[in-house]
Amino acid sequence: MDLVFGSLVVIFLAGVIPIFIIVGVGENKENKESKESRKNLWLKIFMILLGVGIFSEMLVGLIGIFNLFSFNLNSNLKVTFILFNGISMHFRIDTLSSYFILIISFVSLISLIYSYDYFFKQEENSTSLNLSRTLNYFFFSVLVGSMILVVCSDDILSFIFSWELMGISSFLLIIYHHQKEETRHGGLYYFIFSHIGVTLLIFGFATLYSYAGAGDFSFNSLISNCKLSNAMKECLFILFFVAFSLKGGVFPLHVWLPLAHPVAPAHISAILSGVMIKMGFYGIFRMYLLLGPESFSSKVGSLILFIGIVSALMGGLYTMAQNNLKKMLAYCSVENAGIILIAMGMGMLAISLGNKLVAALSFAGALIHILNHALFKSLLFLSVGEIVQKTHNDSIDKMGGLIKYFPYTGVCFLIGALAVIGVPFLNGFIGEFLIYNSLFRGISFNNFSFIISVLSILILAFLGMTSFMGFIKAFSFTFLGESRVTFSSLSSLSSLSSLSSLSSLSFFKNDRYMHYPIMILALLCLLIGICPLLILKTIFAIVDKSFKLQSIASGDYYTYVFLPFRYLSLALGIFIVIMMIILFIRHKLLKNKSSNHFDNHVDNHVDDHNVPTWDCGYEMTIKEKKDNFQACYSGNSFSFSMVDFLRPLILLRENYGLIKEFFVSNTRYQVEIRDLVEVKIISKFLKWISYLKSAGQWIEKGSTQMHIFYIAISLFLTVVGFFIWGIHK
Amino acid sequence: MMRQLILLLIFIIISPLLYAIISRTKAFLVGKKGIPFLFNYYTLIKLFRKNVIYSKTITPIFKVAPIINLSAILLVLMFLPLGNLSPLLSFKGDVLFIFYLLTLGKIFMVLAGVDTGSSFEGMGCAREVFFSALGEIVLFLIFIMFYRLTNQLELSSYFVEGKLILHSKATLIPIIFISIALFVILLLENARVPVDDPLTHLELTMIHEVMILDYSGPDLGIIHLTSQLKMFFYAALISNLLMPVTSVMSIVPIIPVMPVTSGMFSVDVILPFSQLIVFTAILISVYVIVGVVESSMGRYQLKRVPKFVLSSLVLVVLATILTWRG
Repeated sequence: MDLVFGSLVVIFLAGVIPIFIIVGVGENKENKESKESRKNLWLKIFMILLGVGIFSEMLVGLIGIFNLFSFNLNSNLKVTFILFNGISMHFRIDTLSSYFILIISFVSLISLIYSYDYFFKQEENSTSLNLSRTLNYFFFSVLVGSMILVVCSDDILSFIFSWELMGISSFLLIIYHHQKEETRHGGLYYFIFSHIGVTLLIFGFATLYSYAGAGDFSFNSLISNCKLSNAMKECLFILFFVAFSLKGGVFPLHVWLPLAHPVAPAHISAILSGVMIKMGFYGIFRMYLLLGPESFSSKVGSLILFIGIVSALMGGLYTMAQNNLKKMLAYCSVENAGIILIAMGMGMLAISLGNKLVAALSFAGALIHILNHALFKSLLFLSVGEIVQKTHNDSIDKMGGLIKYFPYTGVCFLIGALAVIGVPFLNGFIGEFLIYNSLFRGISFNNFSFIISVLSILILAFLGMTSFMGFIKAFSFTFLGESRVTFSSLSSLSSLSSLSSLSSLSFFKNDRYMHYPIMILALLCLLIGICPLLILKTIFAIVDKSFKLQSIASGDYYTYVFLPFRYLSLALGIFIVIMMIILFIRHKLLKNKSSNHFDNHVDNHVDDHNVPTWDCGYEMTIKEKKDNFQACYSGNSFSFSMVDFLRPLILLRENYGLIKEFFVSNTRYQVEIRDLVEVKIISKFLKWISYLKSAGQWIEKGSTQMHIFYIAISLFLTVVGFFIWGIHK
Repeated sequence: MMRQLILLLIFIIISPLLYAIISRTKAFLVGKKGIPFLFNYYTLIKLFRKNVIYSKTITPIFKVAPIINLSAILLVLMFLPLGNLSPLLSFKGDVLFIFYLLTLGKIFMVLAGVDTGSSFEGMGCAREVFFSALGEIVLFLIFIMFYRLTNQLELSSYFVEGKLILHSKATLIPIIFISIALFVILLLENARVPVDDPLTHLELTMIHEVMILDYSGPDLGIIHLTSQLKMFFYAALISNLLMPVTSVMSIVPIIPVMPVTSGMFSVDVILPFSQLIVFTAILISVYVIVGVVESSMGRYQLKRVPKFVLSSLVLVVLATILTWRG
């Protein structure tokens, strides 16, 4: 606990001191060069300090979940700050929160390293440390600290305090590019949504406290004093669920995600999507554990399962349809939120029906999917951030062939995309395997659970394919093929266009701090996929401890989880051996032939790498292709057959040239994917609001004396009201 | 274990031969002589002896893709039971692994297709992904039904250990329905006639063939071999399902739903010669039926393919209802 707060202080200081330096130093303009270099030195020092702070938080997480140094987590990791007049703030760490601390601090550390090159290697005022960037780092440190406080807090007050701190600091991080209209728009959406969530949260906690009566605000005393009936507890849980799913990006409440993520800087969106969304799931887990898993009927689990199915399906469909890289990743977060909810709902259903093995499988599936999603989503966001920064473009249709410029980023993006799809030997598969296993077991509970688990299995299977479509589209039309536009910003790199010179290290060293984090994340995705048992045993221990499922025989885990995953690693070995054999044979075959070939046709100059792609006899030169788009297949057309099939669920705004007079003049087709909820619900709601506003316009006249009059009247009414109420009592 | 390995190797080696049955059947039905049975071997050998030509647009993904695809299908075949003989490898929940592994191969083929930068190959890839997404739903529904009957999630328990249960709980009609649904999946995944015509000459309407337009030499040979093995995999699934169970049970001592495959490498179960013949006969008849279907109907419009695939979903739902016991 000392370590937690010590490093929190370090993180905060590292964020706050540069502001003073910048404000102090920024005044006098003379001797600019040395000032710049000194500022850079300070910046590096404080970034390292910030990194050290976050790293020590990560150590806390590691110690917590792996039970290092024989740390007994349930006994002494509590801290209480007494503020004044008996109001105190409680903090404690258990295995669940240390698991989340690990995720938070790891992803933040990675994005911190990434941000060094991302921020300071931009073209405009390249290395300067101005006030807005310093403020950005300050809010970054506040965000990281507040997220850690959220998972540690043990009473209402500290929970709401840190939750609100998290919401506000992330809002301020999102509007970093506040000069742009859409940034402000997205930020505002996020601000409103996050505050609706806080309101609901305060309402829920207030209800809980009013029923608990006496005692302080700490969760434990609330629950022990609480006199709620089971049905009431369920209602309260649903309320909390709605509040947390506003943060978690669950389907009908996800609207802020695709608006806010594309406008935030890349490392911020990595944290938002990779970690901050998970705070919502942490909240749901925490409230579930608090309000008593045993007292819930199976309705709660089924409801959450159902919401998960809807969220996963809609998120998946929009992921597939989107053509904006960052928006697509945002929708993918919605999809994965749905998958996590499916697992959580199945677990709750299983607990209320008394099947502990299924509960353990699904909660473990949810937890590991949370980790996996944090890894691959931040990987994808960081690599997309690099592409977007260097090409000044975030539409899939306007890219192509970029792997020749960004080989490392491309390969890492591919790994991330494969992990999202959930192919074996990558981490996405591990979570899905566990979730599938629990869902299949859920088939035989009762008739209702049969329907709902069959539905979710089919949806999961279909989602695998839609994310296949979406992410392969994103990867291949961004990185592979011919580039569909000429990138003016890449012209400096064009000398590197041949693959052989790309592997030269000089190119790689340019953006070292951008590439290392991406590669670390990709390696971790591979590592978890190849030896899942490294982390799975710990996760099952966490599940056992947190959800009090120790009664499961360890043999069950062994047969249903550990053994299959051991064989999975073995199967990977076999796979690689087979691949090596085929490669060897192919190599042998080609070796003989190619020598023959060149002996016979030396004069033909048939070079292996110098033949254009077969285009059905209709060959365009590359230059021609760049000038007109006609024969280019784009990401939009790639996913269109599926989008068209699912059209009622995906809103499209199409725009194409009709036949004017007698001839088709200029063939063009534009399509824009619009969010169902945003268009159908939010805009209607906003219309109501503006109607109400105009209806109540007559109250607001703008004169001061009227307002004083209103205040007097309302005070008077309040007093009278209390008076009458008192008499009545 | 040795026995399974040898049997698997034999089947892998004769899979091009089995593939030739389709075209022989088609030729027979229209009164032609048809290709020789060893034709596919000649093609493979010819391709393996050629050199490769690559487009200048491609990246190394294009070269790796066929190899990954072939290794994926070979690994999948190791999990396949061959007529009441338990498979080489098996673990709890391997069904998920198998079908996600097949997806891995498909992903790389799609990547390779788009990698060439050709619009036609892009189209083929898009269709392939879309149709197999629908096929995935049908497949998982089939496995849900199998799970309901046997409470297991591995191929060997459906076709070897739990076979008796599967066949006793699901009577003849559901089994036939499921085999038809599997047959539709076979046509879909292997790009056979009502879904895709492997012999078409118009790139605009092709699905699978158009994805591999830019391959040549040994790479194309690997792709041909892969598609023959894939055909064998799905055909063997169907014949495993249809394989009569009674003749086995008298010989092989099997306790119902016994976790025989507690290890990855399964126990040796004796496969009498007569059963091998029955299995091969069913296998060959599946190939013949593919040929008959091909010569008796034209391919569907691309817009009608989803309906065709989803109609098999109805069959599976019907089968699930028919086997419903409380």
